[in-house]
Amino acid sequence: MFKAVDYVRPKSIDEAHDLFVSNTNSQILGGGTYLYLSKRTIQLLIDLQETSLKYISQRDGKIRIGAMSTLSDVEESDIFKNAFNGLVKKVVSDIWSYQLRNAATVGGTVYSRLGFSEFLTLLAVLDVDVVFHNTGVISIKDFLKMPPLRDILKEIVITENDLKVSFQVFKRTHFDFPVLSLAVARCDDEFRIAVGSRPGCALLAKDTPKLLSEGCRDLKTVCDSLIREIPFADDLRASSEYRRHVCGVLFKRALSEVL
Amino acid sequence: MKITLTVNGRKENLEVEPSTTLLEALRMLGLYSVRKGCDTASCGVCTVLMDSKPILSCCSLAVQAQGHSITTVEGLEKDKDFEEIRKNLLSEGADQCGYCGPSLLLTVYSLKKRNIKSLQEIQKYLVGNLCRCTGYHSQLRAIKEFMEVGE
Repeated sequence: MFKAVDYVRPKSIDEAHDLFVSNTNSQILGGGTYLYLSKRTIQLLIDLQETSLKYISQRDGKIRIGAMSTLSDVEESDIFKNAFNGLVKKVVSDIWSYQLRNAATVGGTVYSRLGFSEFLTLLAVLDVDVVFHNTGVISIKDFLKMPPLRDILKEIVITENDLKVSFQVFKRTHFDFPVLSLAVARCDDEFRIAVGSRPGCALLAKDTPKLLSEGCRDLKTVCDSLIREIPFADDLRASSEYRRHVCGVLFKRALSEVL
Repeated sequence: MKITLTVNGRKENLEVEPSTTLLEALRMLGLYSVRKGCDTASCGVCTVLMDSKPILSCCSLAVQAQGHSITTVEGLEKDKDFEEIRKNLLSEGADQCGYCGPSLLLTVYSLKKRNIKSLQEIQKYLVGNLCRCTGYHSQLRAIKEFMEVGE
């Protein structure tokens, strides 16, 4: 368990940001549901719960989720009942336990780029922008490739559109982190493919979507391409070899839903 | 640091470290129904209600809970719904060693306010409440009756 020397609850994002950047050993506190596994000593914990970042709104074809919204807020939001055919709601409601979803925040999940996050794998293939206090708006595609930012994540913005999306996940038991998660989105001839729980953070494929866009529909060719370009590793849940195999299976299932 | 928690409707003053968990703080207050189990957010025995929703007190900080309403089973002793689910569990023999009992009671109590329509849905919300004794069948019989749902 981590140790913290001091704790503050700023009333504004400006105040929180100033504290965060002026103290190099400070840590933003979302739900705290992952932080407790750390063994660090943190000088200053900055709790964002009074910075008005807990909201979900829908306007002009965009859904905005404040960083301090919990996974349960997403699961229970009427907005996500219909958006993307209820897929976001379904994916979030299958994450770990009800108790954890009541505390874990969207900001904590996205900012930390949690490798095991099914939610992040899904977000990676949607039209999503992440909005930081100082850095501004970054597409999730760019955000996933960037080094960690010393900035405060304010919200994520999901553009509603007609993407055809398939999300696949394989877990050893329902109540576990995934062995692998995979999402495919299609808009006409454009494809996006993300693979998460590799066990690293969700990664967008580059070559395989091009193959599909060029009209290749040979399942073996596209599966081999995806397995070749995505790096996998071993952890206590599965070996890299097993993950490669599961990736091929999940990818075929996803393609059968979007092609 | 000094904090004030609202626990079972009462204001409680405590001296804690910033990294003291809510679980540790509640046990400091003598609320021993809040159990220490896995400490990895897996077993659910540390469940308490925060603003009527179940959370895991082993991975929540006491300082985070300031300004929120915390409920443990000690605070529900006179509650009608709570009494009903407690009786149901006892009559089905769904409580053996008792270690997971308070956390299960709180999660089920919180679900009563939701529009749960099926056994499958109940099971989905209870995956985070592990029980090593009962095999869950007797618990589910009691909970189904309490929630008034069919198969």
